[in-house]
Amino acid sequence: MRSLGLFLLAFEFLVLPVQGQGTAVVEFLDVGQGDAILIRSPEGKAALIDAGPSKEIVPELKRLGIKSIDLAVVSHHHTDHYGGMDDVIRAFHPRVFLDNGSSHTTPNYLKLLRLVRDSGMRVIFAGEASRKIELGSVSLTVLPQPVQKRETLGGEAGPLERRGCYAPSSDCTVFRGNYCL
Amino acid sequence: MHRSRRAISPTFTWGSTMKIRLSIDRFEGDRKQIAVLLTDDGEQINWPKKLLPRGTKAGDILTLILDRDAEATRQVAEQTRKVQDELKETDKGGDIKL
Repeated sequence: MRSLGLFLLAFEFLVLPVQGQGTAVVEFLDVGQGDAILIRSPEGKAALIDAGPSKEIVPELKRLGIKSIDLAVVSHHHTDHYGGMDDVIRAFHPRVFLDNGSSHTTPNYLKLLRLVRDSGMRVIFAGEASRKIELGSVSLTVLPQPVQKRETLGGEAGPLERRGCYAPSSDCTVFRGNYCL
Repeated sequence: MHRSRRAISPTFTWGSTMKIRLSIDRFEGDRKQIAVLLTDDGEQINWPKKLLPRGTKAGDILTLILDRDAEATRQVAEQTRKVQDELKETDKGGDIKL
């Protein structure tokens, strides 16, 4: 069994592929500041975690052969993570958008949320309990964030505790927004 | 000999407002689109040229006034929460299969 994991600033995200044929691929795209992580399931389904700071993400995804995105995730509300997401939404119309639900007061973030709302895509949020998303045979788990992080309004969350069950291995990867294991 | 009619204060803070004196050191970038601004104590700020007053050139002195806008902050926070609440109403929870 392979497993991938996401650990986001405002909440945690663990990815656990179920048994199946083929290979799940995780690509860390070079977007300069911030991040953009592409997860492709063996069946060709795609998830994008963050979209880097700029519009350059769309041509890069097209260059990689991406024609559709099943899940788009914004790990947290800083522009080096969501700056290119509006273009991704317009170009690929992701099926599902995962938001961390943090309250933040920049007009740019509000603009993104309004685009998400007006696009009509399905929107899901991290909750207080773990939540699973099956991306083909790749299983993603949104891990709940510690309460004190959720209550941090518009601020930078502190370093997140490394816990054994979230440690990466050949079967498990954890994505944590700004923080890497 | 004339003295300056008014002393120029490099920085000035009044309540939620800060006034800072800046000089334009130079322009950088492929199209010289970035103005490098310097405070009197040497802090450097890279500033888009398109957000400078027309005709501004290297060597000019600028005054930057920063004002914390509590009402605008409250409005954006309220609007953000409203959109998020709208979106959350559509999330029925549970696991997702894609």
